[in-house]
Amino acid sequence: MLVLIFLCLTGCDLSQDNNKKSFLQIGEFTITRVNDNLTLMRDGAGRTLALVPRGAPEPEGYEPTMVVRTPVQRVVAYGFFDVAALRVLGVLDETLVGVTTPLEKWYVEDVRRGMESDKIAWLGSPNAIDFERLKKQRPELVLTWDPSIIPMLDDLGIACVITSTPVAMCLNARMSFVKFLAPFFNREKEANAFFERVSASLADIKARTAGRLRQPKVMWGDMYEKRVLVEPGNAWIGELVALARSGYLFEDIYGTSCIEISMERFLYSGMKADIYFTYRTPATGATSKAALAKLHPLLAGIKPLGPEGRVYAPLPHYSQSGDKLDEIFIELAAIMHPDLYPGYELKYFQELPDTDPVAEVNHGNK
Amino acid sequence: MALNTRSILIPLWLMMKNVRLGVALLILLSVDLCFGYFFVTNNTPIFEPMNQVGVVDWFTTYARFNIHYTAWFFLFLLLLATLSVNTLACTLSRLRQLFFIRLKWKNSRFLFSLATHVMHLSMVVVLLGYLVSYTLTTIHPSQTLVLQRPKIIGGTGLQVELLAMDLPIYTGNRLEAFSGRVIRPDTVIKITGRKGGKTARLAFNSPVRFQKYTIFLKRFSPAGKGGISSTHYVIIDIRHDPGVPLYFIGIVIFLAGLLSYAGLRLHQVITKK
Repeated sequence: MLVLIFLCLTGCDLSQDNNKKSFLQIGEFTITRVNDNLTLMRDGAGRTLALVPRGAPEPEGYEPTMVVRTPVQRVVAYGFFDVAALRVLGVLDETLVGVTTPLEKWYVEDVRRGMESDKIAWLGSPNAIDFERLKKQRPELVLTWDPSIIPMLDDLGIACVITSTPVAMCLNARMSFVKFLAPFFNREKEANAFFERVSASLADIKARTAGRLRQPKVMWGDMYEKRVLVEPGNAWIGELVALARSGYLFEDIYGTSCIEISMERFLYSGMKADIYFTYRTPATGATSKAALAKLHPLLAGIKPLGPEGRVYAPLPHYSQSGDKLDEIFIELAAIMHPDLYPGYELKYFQELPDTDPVAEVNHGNK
Repeated sequence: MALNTRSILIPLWLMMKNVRLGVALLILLSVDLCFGYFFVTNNTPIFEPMNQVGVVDWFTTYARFNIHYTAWFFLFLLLLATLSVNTLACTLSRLRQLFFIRLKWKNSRFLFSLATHVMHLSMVVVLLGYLVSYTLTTIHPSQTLVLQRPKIIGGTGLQVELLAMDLPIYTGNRLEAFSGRVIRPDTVIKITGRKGGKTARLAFNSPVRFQKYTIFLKRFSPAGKGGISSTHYVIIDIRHDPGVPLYFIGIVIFLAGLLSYAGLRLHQVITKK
């Protein structure tokens, strides 16, 4: 009977405030709009923050560091994707005051300019944050993937949002993540426009690749000295590959982004792959197939490293281009189906040659 | 008016105490759970937070806004509630009859029959415990602790401090996937409340109980050697679950009924021989 009563009450709730209360789930993130003065945000660690407009009364039952006044005016961001989301929302210039990557490693012009003018500070590497410097920047909010800083931020009275999740973000979560950050800055309109733009690119990919009989097999990951890391099938990459009518070879693997798998599994899948995306950039050794094989001799055994396969490495600015998701998606589709995108020029990835040009010259000299 | 109420309640009671209704409900529950399996497997992110946010909040958010995936769960609760009432009605009805013929039977025969009904009643208590648990539990989720930095948990009057953490790396050969990873994290925490405190070991499947609260280890870092993140922290959930005593009572009653049943049955077999 209690359950029946409860269900009736829930039913009443459904009909009464349908226009007021709204709820949006983005992967593991959620946004619950309770009323005009209170929006509840569940972050990647499962913590609930209360967003309250400036000047509105303090909500009851929330610790001070779990209450964020909106629009946020000063923010520190750890991750490239968080910074990209601020750019999408059009608030990067006015709100970003701290990052954890030094100036020389930035490719985003707005961030470089902000750091050169000292408006944006480098706060140290993520594992060694200079909390004195952070405090000096007076952020109202820190966007981070690292929960270990929460106790320190609590002491400093600074609110914090965990923007990573224990399980890799799916395609929809990746596209919609800006919608999660939008209420912090009252920029829902910009977030929706971005989502529409990326959705349109996906629709285009779907339409172009519809009915393709040839489905290239794709793998994304890397072998390091002691570990093998790949993108799992539940990650946005796995979903995008499937959407573009291709086969993702780690489709059955579920978990966090950059998940560790056995070397045997990697090599077994590698025997069937047509296209291989490495995590390494040209700066970290991915200059040619031969260079990759030299870094890890077992890699030479996978099909893409052979003459028939193709290997792609992300260019250094790729990881900082989260605001160009639509272009990245199109580029990935063009890599998988080059015949459908004639004349396409790669902007975020580089196809690796068989050997390094320098090595060829040296060989010629000998 | 009284006549009208009686005319509704009596057929309802007769319907509810019908064993056939119980069988039909069990079949419907099985069918519903088949749908549930399909929806939960394919939409884990919708159902996972139920344990984190509590069922009331879950109903008004995740369930309400994904009704096409969660409708089976509403039906499941409805069927389960009806089954509970059906079990209760059947048992009470049989108990009534049992007590009427009590004097004609030997003690052992009476107790043997009673044991079965006690087990049925205990199931109702267990289900009630789950209902209380899911509707009235208070959760303070995802509290991050780092070494030697006490954290006050708002709304509980508790202060929790991580005193030590031991993250032994797996060195065995049998589980190669865990090679170089932490398989059994172990931590020591100190909890201080308004009336005293305690220091206890907290690990997976080894929660700490303090006053009315239970503390669970949810996550830890680093998860292995040479990982992407080398920061040291644990994430805990703190729960106050008033349903726990109820389902423990239910299980104790069930065990008492089961042991009585088994003991008396054994006695019957021996006596016959």
